[in-house]
Amino acid sequence: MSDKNAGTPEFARHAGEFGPGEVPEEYRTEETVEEYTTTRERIVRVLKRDKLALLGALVVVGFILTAAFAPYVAPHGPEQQFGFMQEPMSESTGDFDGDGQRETVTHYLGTDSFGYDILTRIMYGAQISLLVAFATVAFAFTVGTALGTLAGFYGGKIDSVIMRGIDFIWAFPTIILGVGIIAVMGGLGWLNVVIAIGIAFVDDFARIVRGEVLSIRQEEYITAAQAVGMSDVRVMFREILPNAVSPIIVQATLMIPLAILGEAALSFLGLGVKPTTPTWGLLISDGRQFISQAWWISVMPGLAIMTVVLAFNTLGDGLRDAFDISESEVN
Amino acid sequence: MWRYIAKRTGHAFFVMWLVATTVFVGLRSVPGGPVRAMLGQEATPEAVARLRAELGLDQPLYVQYVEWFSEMLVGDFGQSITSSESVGGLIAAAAPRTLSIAAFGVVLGLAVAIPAGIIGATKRNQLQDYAATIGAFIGISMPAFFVGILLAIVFGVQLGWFPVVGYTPISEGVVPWLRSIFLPGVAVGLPYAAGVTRMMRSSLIETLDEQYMRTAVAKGVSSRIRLYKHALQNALIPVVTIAGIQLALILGGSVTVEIVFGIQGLGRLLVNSILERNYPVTQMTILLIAGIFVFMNLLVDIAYTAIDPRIRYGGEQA
Amino acid sequence: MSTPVLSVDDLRTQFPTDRGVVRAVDGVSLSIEPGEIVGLVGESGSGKSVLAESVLGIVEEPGEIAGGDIRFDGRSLLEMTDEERQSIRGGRMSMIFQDPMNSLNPTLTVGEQIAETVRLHQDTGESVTLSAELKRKIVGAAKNGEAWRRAIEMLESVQIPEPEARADDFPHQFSGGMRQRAMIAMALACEPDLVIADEPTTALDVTIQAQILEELEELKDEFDTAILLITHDLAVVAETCDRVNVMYAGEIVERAETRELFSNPEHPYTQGLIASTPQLENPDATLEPIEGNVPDLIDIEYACHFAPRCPEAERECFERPPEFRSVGDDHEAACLRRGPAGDRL
Repeated sequence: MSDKNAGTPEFARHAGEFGPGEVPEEYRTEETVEEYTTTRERIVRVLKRDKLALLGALVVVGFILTAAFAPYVAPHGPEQQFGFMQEPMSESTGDFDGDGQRETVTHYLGTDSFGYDILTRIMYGAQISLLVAFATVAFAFTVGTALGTLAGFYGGKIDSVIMRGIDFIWAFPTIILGVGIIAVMGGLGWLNVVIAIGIAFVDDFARIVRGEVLSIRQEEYITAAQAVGMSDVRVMFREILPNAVSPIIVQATLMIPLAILGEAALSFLGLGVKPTTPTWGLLISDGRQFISQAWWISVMPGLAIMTVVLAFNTLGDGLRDAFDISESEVN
Repeated sequence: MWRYIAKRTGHAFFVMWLVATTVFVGLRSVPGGPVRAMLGQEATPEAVARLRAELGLDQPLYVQYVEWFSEMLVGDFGQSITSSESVGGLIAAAAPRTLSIAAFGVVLGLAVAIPAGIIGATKRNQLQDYAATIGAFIGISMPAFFVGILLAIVFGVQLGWFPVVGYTPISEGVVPWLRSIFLPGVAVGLPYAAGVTRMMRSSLIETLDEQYMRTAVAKGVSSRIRLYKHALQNALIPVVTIAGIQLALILGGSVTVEIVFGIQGLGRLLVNSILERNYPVTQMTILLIAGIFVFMNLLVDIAYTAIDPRIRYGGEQA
Repeated sequence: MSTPVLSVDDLRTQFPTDRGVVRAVDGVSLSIEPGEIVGLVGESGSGKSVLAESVLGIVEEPGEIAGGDIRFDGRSLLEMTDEERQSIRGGRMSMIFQDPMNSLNPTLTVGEQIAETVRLHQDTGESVTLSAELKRKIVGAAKNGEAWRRAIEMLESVQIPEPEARADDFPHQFSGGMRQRAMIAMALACEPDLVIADEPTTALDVTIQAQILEELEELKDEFDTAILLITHDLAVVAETCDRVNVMYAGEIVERAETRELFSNPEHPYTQGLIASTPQLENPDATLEPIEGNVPDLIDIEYACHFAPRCPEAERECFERPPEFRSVGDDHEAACLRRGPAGDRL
């Protein structure tokens, strides 16, 4: 008997050549170990596996780039006028670039009631629509995360005051809350619009973050961090928030399309941002009275909204599946 | 059960009180005050003072608050500033239009969403499921007013089946009334249906995976009876919550869709009052819409007692 | 010998997955005589629940029975139509699940859940069409009907106090022990020939465990029902079973009469299992855990599935599949190193 048989259990009658845990060479299999994956790796993996989410991501990036580089990629200037209400794919001939020669240009999406090229207007409109949407979610994220963290971390009175306040946000349909806030603050400035729509989303972020904080707070490493004398603020920022990051990312991705829709509704009502170049909602609103003569004036910007919202939704759904977050937690 | 209903009712009243107070305080904290905002910066001090007195704004805030609240409770909602009509009268004229559209939207939405969700869940990963899922996905990605415009172009302008503008009261006949609210109702109902369909599908899929559904199989219950008798009610429990919360989509959607179809409802009243700085109208319209939403969700909470025996008998959970 | 109620012959149930085929049940044979309690013991992941599901015909997608046969009262279940199997399930053959908290439908009264089984499998003269069932769900079942009376009778025989009143309760108004009693009532309501009880007491308090097992035994005698008792708990087996099958990684490794198995365990796995369980008679004995874990059931390439964890394994154990050998009176073990031939290795 060799040394290894010292570990042979008492019940065994003989010591075999291959004791517990020992396997002949040819039967050895590789152990699979579950690897830790970072948030970024998981996002990359979703995009590799989930083709719809990838398509969504590409469309989103496409819209963002188009908006950012609108002056370079748009076929015309936003104020350049052509014939009124020309159909999609129609052409205009004239000296449009001021080089003294006449040329023919195609209006892929037609022109509107002022003679503006619709494709150009949509590209410029994307700037405000997307910017406002991102700013709105950033605002809701900041305020909501702060409130949710405070409520979850301190509990008790602070928690109930914050959560009651949030209950009341819930009582308003998003658009009505936005309209009410615009009524108080006056329209025009994009910041007012951001706050008006953003407030309606604060409660969603606050609830998620509070829930995450409540569950993470019980974990031992938080107690450990407090035991070694970390301050509350440090514990919140360094230990708790990074762990709540995936549901927050998913929520933010799913909130951006809602913000786009909210902004579009406000500007459709004439209560949104009033910049020199109109937003998508305003473009739709402008075309509304001409639907019997020139349907494309309203429909084209509407399709733009639909496409980008759809893209954000597919991306958000893919991320939600990837992070294994149930639909009841984030929606 | 009665304790639960009392609790939810109490909560609804609390939320409404909070909403009313916030609207009151909010509109009185408009920069320069509502009177300045109404009369413009060039108004004479005398005119401002007169209007302030007329509106009772020269009183201390708590007096105004008590007065406003007690008048509201007896149904006196004040006067419109731009016309001589009472706010109550304006709202009474506008509300039936918005409510007709919203009610039609909800009924249509649920009638589409629940069967679509059931099909999606039971024919999982088959053609019918993909159709329902893609349809719902597109539905949640379209603003109601855009759906309205598309419907108006296709069924109003091109096909001429429905009127594109205006509202016919139900007193002039049910069919003309239905025709006038059909397109706006579909426009608010479809995005709503999309959200509810998604919830119905995922909830039913989750329910069909439950252990008690395996018990039913082991008992020899046929698949049809399993679905309708054993699974459906359980699956509806979370759907009811979402259907209530998503009513916000219907109400918000009605506001914009009314404008597409030129219907003088609450949405038009609200937007115009804001543009005209007609604060008494703004404040009551917002309160009314929030009130409808809170009330509908109270009804949803009460509907829960019918659908979830855990709440009907003793339940602690809400 | 009479016809066995259940005989399983070389059954193979597998689940295709992305990583390969999981052979959850890999060539299992066992039989149960009328009125006897047969234990099926194994760790979690050994495939014992899948075996139960295969017998009942409720293996979940994408699982499939790839080979072998299951005979119920002499007839092959695998050759029956879906309708025939459905009519047997819950009637002549029923199942008690592990988790009493989730095994009853929260939206149906306990009485209705039992009465439904009775209506489906016995001729009570009550309609079982979809509309009739939905009507019952909404307005409640007819209290003077035979099915409802039977439900109350069953609740009474599983010791539920005030059965008439409690039959109208919903599951959340029952305690865990009461729910499991209700499950037992449901499983036995149609006086089945065979009940498969999958870890029926695992989720319950120890004191209630004993009561439930005792009741199960009494009811077995009353209705002359055979029971296949699936558990990982040797104490439960020792207390209740007539015969025992020990299952490991999709295969049965040893079978014997209960007393014989506990006094003379032969297969190294069974020996390890007993050595790792606290013994009441011998509290000072050291507990010896079996090293390692139940293997992943995907593509096991070695012949004896226990070989990698076995202290006695030789090269041959990995190469040649072990067949059953008689190792005592009505006692068999599947191990190359056991039985008269075993010593030669």
